[in-house]
Amino acid sequence: MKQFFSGLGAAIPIAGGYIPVAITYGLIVRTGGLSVLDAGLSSMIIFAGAAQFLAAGMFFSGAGILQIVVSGWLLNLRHLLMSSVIAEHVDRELPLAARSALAFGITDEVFGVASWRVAAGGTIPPLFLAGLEIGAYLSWVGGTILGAAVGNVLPPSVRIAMGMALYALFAALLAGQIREVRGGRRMRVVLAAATSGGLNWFLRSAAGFDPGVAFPLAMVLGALIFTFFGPDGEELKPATAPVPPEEAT
Amino acid sequence: MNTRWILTALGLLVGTYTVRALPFWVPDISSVSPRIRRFLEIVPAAALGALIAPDAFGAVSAGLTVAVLGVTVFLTLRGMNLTVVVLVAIGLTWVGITLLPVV
Repeated sequence: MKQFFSGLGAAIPIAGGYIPVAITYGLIVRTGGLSVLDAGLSSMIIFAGAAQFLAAGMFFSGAGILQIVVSGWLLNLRHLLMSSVIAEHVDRELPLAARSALAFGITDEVFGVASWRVAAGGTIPPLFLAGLEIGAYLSWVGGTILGAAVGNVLPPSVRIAMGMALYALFAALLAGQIREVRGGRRMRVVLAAATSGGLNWFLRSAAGFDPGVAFPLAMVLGALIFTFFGPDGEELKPATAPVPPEEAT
Repeated sequence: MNTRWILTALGLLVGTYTVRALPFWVPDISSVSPRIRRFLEIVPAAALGALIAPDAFGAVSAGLTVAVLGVTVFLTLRGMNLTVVVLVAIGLTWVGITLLPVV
């Protein structure tokens, strides 16, 4: 139980960052015309910040469910690599049900804190991870409900500034990915991001595509181009050593 | 409750959860072919690029957006914690629109 509370304590810095971002999310969902219940339920069900912002944006611009789901899935493919680092350091004797439950809460920030534990000690105690995930989850869901319920009392300038949180989050996630890789691989990551952004811009403005179509198209094309072309470099090793302490990605 | 929205959330749950759980279920998942691994490595970056452009430029002036996102990237590359970086970005944007209403 001590491990559980230690995990909860480690979630406090995560909560500090999650709550303003979650408030912004709740506010966006509410402003788009959905209810507090809709906002809260989506955070409870999905628990993936970037994908939820993406989903809200596409939903309100009229995209189809399948388009949103596929786009969100592609965006969250980054968790495959993070999750494999964590899974490697969680007790393999743990029952499958417990391992499956722990997998639910692997977000970018949870990975950041947990990987620090990997760097420091080697294994991640399951109860520590459970406490960390529950703390992060409660702050995300609570912040969403707070934002949806009373976010409109914030002055407009603060609301606009909090709207930038979303793009800052995307830019920081991107910079984190760039930071994790070296040499030719880093160049490919940068080129893929720039190409997809440029393509999305072009498809939306010059070609007049609907955002829900332009986004997945730009993303897949940008990634495919630099999967087959681009500078060579050492290949990604499976479950590489965790990133250094404090580098939440 | 909006049924279409909740269905969207459930669809995203399936995609997101599967990606997170796969390494817990199949420990050797990361030993797939190098080409697939390369795709997996760059597709999130491609997604983020397309999420930022062009939508980040709209609510505030392009100059302020570039400045805030530039600082965000710089601080993250320097190793600052993600959550702190996001808070700094919110603060900077607020200062920008409050002090410089014309930019």
